[in-house]
Amino acid sequence: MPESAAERLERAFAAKAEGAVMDAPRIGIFGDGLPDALVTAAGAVPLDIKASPDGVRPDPRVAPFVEPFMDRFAAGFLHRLAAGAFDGFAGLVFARDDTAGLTAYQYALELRRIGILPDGPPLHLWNLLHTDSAPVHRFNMSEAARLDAFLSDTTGHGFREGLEHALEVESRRLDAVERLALAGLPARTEFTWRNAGRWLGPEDHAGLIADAIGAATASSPGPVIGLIGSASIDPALYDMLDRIGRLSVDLQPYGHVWPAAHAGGPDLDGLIRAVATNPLHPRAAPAGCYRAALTERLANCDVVVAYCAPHEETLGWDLPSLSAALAAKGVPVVDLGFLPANPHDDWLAAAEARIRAAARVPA
Amino acid sequence: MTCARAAGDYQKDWVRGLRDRIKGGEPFAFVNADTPHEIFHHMDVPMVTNQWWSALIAAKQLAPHSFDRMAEMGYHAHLPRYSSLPLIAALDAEPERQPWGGLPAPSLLCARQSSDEHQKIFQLWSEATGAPLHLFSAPGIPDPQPDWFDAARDDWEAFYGTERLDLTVAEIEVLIAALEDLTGRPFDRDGFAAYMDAIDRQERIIGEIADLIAAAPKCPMRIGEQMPNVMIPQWHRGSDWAISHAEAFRDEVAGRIDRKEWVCPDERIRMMWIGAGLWFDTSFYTAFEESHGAVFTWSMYLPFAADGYIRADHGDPVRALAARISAMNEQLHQPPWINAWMVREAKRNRIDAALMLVPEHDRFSGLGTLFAKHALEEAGVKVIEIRSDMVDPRDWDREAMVARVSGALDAW
Repeated sequence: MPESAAERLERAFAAKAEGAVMDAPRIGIFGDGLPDALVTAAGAVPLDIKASPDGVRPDPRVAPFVEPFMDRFAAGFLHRLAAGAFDGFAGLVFARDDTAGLTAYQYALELRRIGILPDGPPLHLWNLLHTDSAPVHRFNMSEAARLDAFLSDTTGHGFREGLEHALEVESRRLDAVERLALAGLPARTEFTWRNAGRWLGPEDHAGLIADAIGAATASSPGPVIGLIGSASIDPALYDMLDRIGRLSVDLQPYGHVWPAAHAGGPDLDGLIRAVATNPLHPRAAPAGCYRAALTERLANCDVVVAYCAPHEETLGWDLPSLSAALAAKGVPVVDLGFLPANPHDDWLAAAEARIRAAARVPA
Repeated sequence: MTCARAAGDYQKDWVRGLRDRIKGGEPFAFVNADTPHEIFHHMDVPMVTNQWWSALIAAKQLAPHSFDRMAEMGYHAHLPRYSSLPLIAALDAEPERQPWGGLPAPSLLCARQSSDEHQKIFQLWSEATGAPLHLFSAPGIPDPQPDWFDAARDDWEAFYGTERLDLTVAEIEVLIAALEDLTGRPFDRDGFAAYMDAIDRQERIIGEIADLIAAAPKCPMRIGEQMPNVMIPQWHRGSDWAISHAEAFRDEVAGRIDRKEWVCPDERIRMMWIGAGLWFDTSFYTAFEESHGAVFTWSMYLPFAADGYIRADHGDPVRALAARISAMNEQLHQPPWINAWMVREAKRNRIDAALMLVPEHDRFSGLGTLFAKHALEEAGVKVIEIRSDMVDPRDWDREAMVARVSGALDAW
C-alpha cells in the first residue's frame, strides 16, 4: 500500500535530518534566523539539524566537553555530529541569534580544532542581527554576501540567480502552512506536519500538506490555548493540549513562527529586512518589542501555557511581565516551570490538571 | 601604606563623589562591563557599572535577600545572577538593603548583546526607570583565532573583521550623539585620541606588572591585593591618577621582588583562579597558604588589562575602541580564546593547579570551561572545578569547599 501524504509527513518529522534523503546538496541549519529560500536558491536543500531524532547516544569523545547546563539541542547536535549524522552534508550553518546556535557552532569548531573530532562538512556562522537600524542592515547584507560565498564553495552555486524562484516556492509553502493552521486539525497533527517541512523540500512539503489536509480529522472544540516556551520538538506536549482545547497561538521556536519568520520581501534586501525586523524573536531589538509582540498575539486566548528549558536565559526574564500584562487583559497564564527533556506521564498529567483549572475545563 | 590601600582610599573618595553627584541629581549612566566606558569617561558622564555594583552588593552580604526576592517575583531559579543582582535589588525597592541606600533612576542604560540575558535585564531596568536603553550588537566571530592576546593588539582590523568593526563604530557614534544630547557638550575627538593613548600607556604598565609577577621566583602579591590595584585604575582608566597608580603598583611589585618579600615564603604550589571573583568570600583566596604552601598568584584581572585593552589606534581612536569592545567578554569565556589564553598564562606563570569557578546559572561564563579544563590538563595543570556563583552565597559551603580543595592539594 503506498504511503499516504500524512504518513510521509509523520515519517519526515520522526526521522529528522538523519532520515532526509535528497538528490540536491544538503545544507544543515541550526536555529532559526536563516531564510530557507537562500539555501534553496543555491540549489540545495535546507535541513534543520537542531532537533534530534529519538535515541541519540552520548558520544564519549564529546561528553567530557559538554557542561551539564548546556542547551539540550546544542548538546544533542554535538553528539550527533560526532556520530557522523551529518557526514555527506555539503555544509552546516548556525544562526548566531538562536539561543543555542553560537554554542553549537563554537563547540563543533573547537572539537575539530583540538583534534577531538575529525573534519567533516564545513561550518558557517550566520550573523543575522534582529533590528532595523541602517548599520545593522548593512552588516546583515554583508553577512548575506558571506553566506553566498559559502554556498558557492560548498554547493557550487550562490543564491542570487535562483532567489526570485526560491521566494515564490517559499511563498507557496507558506500558503499551504497557513491553510494547515486554519484547517482546525489537532495541535499535534498541525505541529508535526508543519515542522516536517524542516526535513523536506519546500515544494514537497506544500504538496504533501495539501494532500494530507483533506484526509485529516478536525479537532474537538474547547478553550483557545496559547503556548509560549523554549524550543521543544516533542509532540507529547501537544497531545496533552489537544485533550484540553484548541491550540491557536503557538509561539515557541518550533511553533507558528516557522516558516512565517522567513517570509517577506521581493528580493534579498527585502527578505533580510523582513527577517531582521520580525519582532517574534527573543533577541529582537528594541528590547521590548518581543514581549509586546507576544502580548499582542496571545491577548485573545482563553489560557496561555508557558514553560522554559532548564538553562535558558531569555524567556525567563519576560515571563513575569508577560504574565502580568496578559492577566491585566483577563488571560490566565499557567507557568509549567522547566520542561523535562522527555515529559513523562505524571508531569503531563499534572500540567493538564493545572491548565484545565485555569481554563475552567473539567477533566 | 601599600598601593592597594591607596587605591582603596582613592576609590572611596571617588565613590563618595560619585554618590554625591548622583544623589545631587546629576544624570548618570548604568552600564554593563563590556560596553565602551571610555565614551562616558571622556564626556564626564558619571557611570555605574552593573558588575561592579553587583560585586558591591555581594561583598556587603546583601545578595541572598535579593535572590530570594527574585524567585518571589517569578523569575526562574536558573537565570543568570551576576548580571541581574542589581536589577533585582532595584526592583525589590528596599533601599536599605542596597549600597548607598540604592541608586536613583539612571538617565541612560547601556548593554551589549554578548549574552542573551543582557538585553532582557536592561530592558527591565529601562521599563522600571524610564531610562533609554542603548544596545550594542554582538555578532559572533566566524573564524575565531586562538591567539587573540597577540593578534588583536595591532592588526585588529583583520582579526575582528571590517564589517563587525563598521557596525560597532556606527553604534558608538549613536551613543556619542545621545551623550551629547544628555550633557549639552560636544564630543572632543582630538581629546579622545589623547585619552585613548593614555589608556594604552596605563595598560602597558599593568602588562609590565603581569610580566614581573609571572617571572618572579615566588608570588609577591596575593590576587586579593592585585585585584583592587588593577581594577580600581581600570574603572578610571586613562586618568592621571590611574597612570600614576599603575606606576606605583609596578614599583611596589618590583620592590617586593627585589627584597624577596613573598606572600608565602614556603610557597610550594602556584595556583590560578579562573573566572570572576568570589565576591562574597574573597578571603577564600588565602585559605591554602598555611596548610599547603599553595598561593593564588594569578587571576584574570591583571593580565587582561594588557591583552584585552591595548589596541593600536592607527589614527582612528573610535575604531580602536570598537576593536577593544567588539569581543571583550567573549575572549574571557569562549573557545578557543579562553583555553588558549589560560594555557599561555599558566605556562608563563608556572602554574601547578587551577581553581575554576563554574557558575552554572551564568551560562555565558560557565560554557567553555571544560575546554579550558582540558587544555590546562594537557599542559600539565591540575584543575579543580568549583560549582558556585560569583555573587550568590546561598549554596556556598566554605568548609566543605576548603576540605575538597585541600584533599586535591594533599596529593601534591
